Amino acid sequence: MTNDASTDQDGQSDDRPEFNEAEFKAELTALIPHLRAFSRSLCGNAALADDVAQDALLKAWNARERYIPGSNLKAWTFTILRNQFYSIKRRSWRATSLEPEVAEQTIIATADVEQSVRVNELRRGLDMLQDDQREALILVGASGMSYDEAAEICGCAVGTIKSRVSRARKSLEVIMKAGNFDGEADDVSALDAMNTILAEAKSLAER
Amino acid sequence: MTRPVNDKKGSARRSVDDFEDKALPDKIGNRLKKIYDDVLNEPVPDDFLSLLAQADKNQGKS
Repeated sequence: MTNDASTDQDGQSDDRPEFNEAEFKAELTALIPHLRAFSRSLCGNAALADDVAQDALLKAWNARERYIPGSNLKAWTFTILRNQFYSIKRRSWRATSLEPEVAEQTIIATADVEQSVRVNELRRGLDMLQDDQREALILVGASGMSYDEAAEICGCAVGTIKSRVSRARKSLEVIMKAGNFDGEADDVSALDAMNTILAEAKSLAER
Repeated sequence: MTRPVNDKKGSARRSVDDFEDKALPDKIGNRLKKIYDDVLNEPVPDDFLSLLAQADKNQGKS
């Protein structure tokens, strides 16, 4: 041990419960499935999503001394993942991950083709949403976060989260409605129709 | 979470029948959940676990 007295845990006199590294590690490990799921929901490309989740996991581990024991670890790690996601997205990946074909290949994983098509519809819809609407919808609608937690993660007011979720839903409803009409059409024309509707939904959502 | 949006203006629901009106938000919710839960229920890939194990070792060295 090369630690000197100034970093000695016992020397801390604030109200914080003592940081227990083994416990932190166990809790962090238990959250890995959620980090992956959140990442994949944000980004349809499985490989990229896992890269982001791994980066976030490592960042969370390296920042462990800044975590306040007893506080919401899931929200804390989701905040890290979210920031990591946008930082990588801004930096680089437009060229790779947003190729529709790539995203689709990674999504179709179940044997139930019809269900896959429907999930892919939503995936495309999600990808069309503005970042702030997509993240709000995923946090509240899929990850089980409360509006309060989602607001904390996104760094905005609870009311803002609520309105983003509601806008996201409205756009996606338009998209899903379009999907129903295409049930028996061939893939190409269905896709064309979908793209038209998606653009429409986006402009509606931005109004 | 699945509460319908209640600030709809009258004009938005002209030709939409009740069934669709109610079913759509749930379909979105279910599919969104599926995207999330499918990954949530996957076994954690080894590289994730070795990442933490590795971080541990590095720390021990320093």
